[in-house]
Amino acid sequence: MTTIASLHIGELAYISEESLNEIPLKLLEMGCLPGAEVELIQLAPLNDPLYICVNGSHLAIRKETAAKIKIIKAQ
Amino acid sequence: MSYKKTINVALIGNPNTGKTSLFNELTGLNQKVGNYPGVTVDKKEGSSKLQGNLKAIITDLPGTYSINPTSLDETIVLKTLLNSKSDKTPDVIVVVADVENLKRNLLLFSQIKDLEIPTVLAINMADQMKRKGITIDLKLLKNELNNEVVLLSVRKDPEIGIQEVKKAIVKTYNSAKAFPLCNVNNRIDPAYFDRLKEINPKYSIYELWLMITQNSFPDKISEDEKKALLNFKNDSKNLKKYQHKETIYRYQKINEILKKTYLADRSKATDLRAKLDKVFTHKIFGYILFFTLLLLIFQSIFDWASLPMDLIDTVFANLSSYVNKTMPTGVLNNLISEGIIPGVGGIIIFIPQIAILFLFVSLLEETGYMSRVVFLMDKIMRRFGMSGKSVIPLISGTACAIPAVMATRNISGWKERLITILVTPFTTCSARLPVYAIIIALIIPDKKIFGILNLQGLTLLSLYILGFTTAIMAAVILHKTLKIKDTSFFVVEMPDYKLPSLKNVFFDVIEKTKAFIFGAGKIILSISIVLWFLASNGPQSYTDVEKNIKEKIVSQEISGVKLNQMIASAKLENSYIGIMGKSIEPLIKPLGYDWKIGIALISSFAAREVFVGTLATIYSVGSDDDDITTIKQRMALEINPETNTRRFNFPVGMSLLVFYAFAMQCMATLAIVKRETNSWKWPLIQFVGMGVLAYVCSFVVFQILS
Amino acid sequence: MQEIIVYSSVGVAVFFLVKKFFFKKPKSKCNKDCDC
Repeated sequence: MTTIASLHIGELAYISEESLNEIPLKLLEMGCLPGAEVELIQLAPLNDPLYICVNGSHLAIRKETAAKIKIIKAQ
Repeated sequence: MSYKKTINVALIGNPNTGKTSLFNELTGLNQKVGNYPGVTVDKKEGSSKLQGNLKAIITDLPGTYSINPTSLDETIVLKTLLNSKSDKTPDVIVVVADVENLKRNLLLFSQIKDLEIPTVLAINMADQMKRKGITIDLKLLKNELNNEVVLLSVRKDPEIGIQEVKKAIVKTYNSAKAFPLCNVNNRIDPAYFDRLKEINPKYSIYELWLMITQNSFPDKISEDEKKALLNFKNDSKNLKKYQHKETIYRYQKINEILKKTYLADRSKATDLRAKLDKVFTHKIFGYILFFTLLLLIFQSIFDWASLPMDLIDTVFANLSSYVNKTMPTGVLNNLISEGIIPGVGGIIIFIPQIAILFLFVSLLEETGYMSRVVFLMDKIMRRFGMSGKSVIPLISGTACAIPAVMATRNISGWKERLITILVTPFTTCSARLPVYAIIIALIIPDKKIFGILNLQGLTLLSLYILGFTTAIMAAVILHKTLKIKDTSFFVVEMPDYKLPSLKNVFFDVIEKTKAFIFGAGKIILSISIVLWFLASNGPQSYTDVEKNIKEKIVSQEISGVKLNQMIASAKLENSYIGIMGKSIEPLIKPLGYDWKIGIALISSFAAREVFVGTLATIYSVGSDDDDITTIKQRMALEINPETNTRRFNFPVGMSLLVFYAFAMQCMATLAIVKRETNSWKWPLIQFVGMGVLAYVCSFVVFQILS
Repeated sequence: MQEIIVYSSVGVAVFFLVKKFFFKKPKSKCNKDCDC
């Protein structure tokens, strides 16, 4: 299962349609929508939290949240 | 003939859009901070002249990303907007957005529009457009959104920007038309929403939708109407799915509009943020930088605050003696010069430290660096049951726990927030310092070890470390024992770095300092008055003091000053507070204390640093002689009658240090904890828990060392 | 006269402290996040 938590720094991906029900409403409202582009910018020690850029918004989320959001890696 | 009219305007927007700057420019010094009834959220209001005879009361609502709330202050936004039929409703809403995050900002905008309240869109930070390669077709955007849109830069061109916003507000108010933007109901499930509308046609569909999804109802709604809506809600299983769909459709609409009107050419952008973030969030260097910054802040607080503090001390001491000598003698004179003036002085003297700390915190928040701190510290803090956002309260606690506890408001998980509130008072606040200073001076030799480290300074540092460590350990214990759901949902925006706006920082520091003065001030003052009363009155033995002393020393030659000091000391001994001190003596003897120290401990309930002044009175050190060396000398001479050695020896001193490190003596902090947690249970637990810890540890320390 | 002022100030202070510490705010709505 490829999720945001499995991204490497600088890697680009797209949020998969499958995750729709797993994404908390608040994240959705902040732009984390299916089809949106997401990039991993930085990781804190122990890979938690994750600093990502999704749909133009720069956010930090915890690993447990990131692990629920499936992605499709950009080729 | 001038006809003045006042309308209500509310500012809404995402955090970090410069909404506060806009508010400050619009209202200037005409702003005040109050409270929303029943909740601990600050209500910021100010007035502004719009045009001619039209004035506006501007409310700065808490920053939020969506009308759907996930925290207490976001709930305020929802309530304000749902009460659209009351007189407190905004006549016009200004949605503040910024050029870089326009897409996300428009989500909130679309929600507000759907409530059919007249709205103005103010897109801020226009000066950043070139730097980020952004172009906006303003005219087309106005058309597409069917709304007034202002493009401005509050920072670079405040006057022009403000004029444009005011013009737009007036125009929108006069046209009094408002149209929904998205009409999501049609796309999600027309039949469902038609049924919803039928239940209560008085409200718009979106209002009804918010009522059932958020369980939040306007004040004026009747119980029957509420019940009808709740029944409808219980029959529908799709709420969550529909909310998701709603958000997606909103963004679709926003994307359509932005495609025609907004262009961001990444190649033209200079990415300062990425460069700075590489350094500030670096796995190693990020932490080094942060801790260095912390040390710098602590150092600065001490260096910069000591001069104003000495000044304030002198002023109030002089004021006290002046009033004492000038006013006619009597109880009122005593109340004012010995109760009220020192009480007020005890509050004012902390302002330098608190203001400087807030200055730094505000600067760090304004630049955007604070989010990076939260990012770096979240994982570690979670180990201890707290959140990354707990860092600021814990740091602030080194100045004073009261504003620190208030700063926990933006921690969204209740358990994390509660734990932070409960453990913050363990951090070494500035009121403990005078106590530490004098005890350390008494029991720790002024020597250097290893040639460079001063022993006294080292002891002080250890006490700081003790405070932090205890806070962390207490947090871990609370995390394991408190049976509260862990409901936190963590999302932190990482805003672009920017130079701090000194105006914003200035207003912020003033606001927070005022909150401290009036919040803690009233309590400290009241307790000072009560303690003064207890110390200046007593049973018969109290009133007889003067006579008794004069009889005793009839044969000796004692100066007027010395005689007065003896009388003052004897009076204190026989006063109510003296009796209280004597009655707790058996309790505190195992810790190495006597009833005199007992009195000082009791008076520390007003404020910890009162300990020093109280001891001065007890040991007959003159009040003109508040010099610490005199008090120190006198304390060094005090003999324990039972052992015939120094009272303030090493074991007793260490015991006192430990006691003050752990005991919850600050009544003002307890009051604030009660307000912020909305119950007396938690401050009580705090008081008892910390008290027991202080007692046990001081006991152990004293017994082991002696 | 002086006594009256002094004793009433002390009385006000005590009353204020008791009110602050022992009475719950009557009108507080428990919002989403409280869990209280």
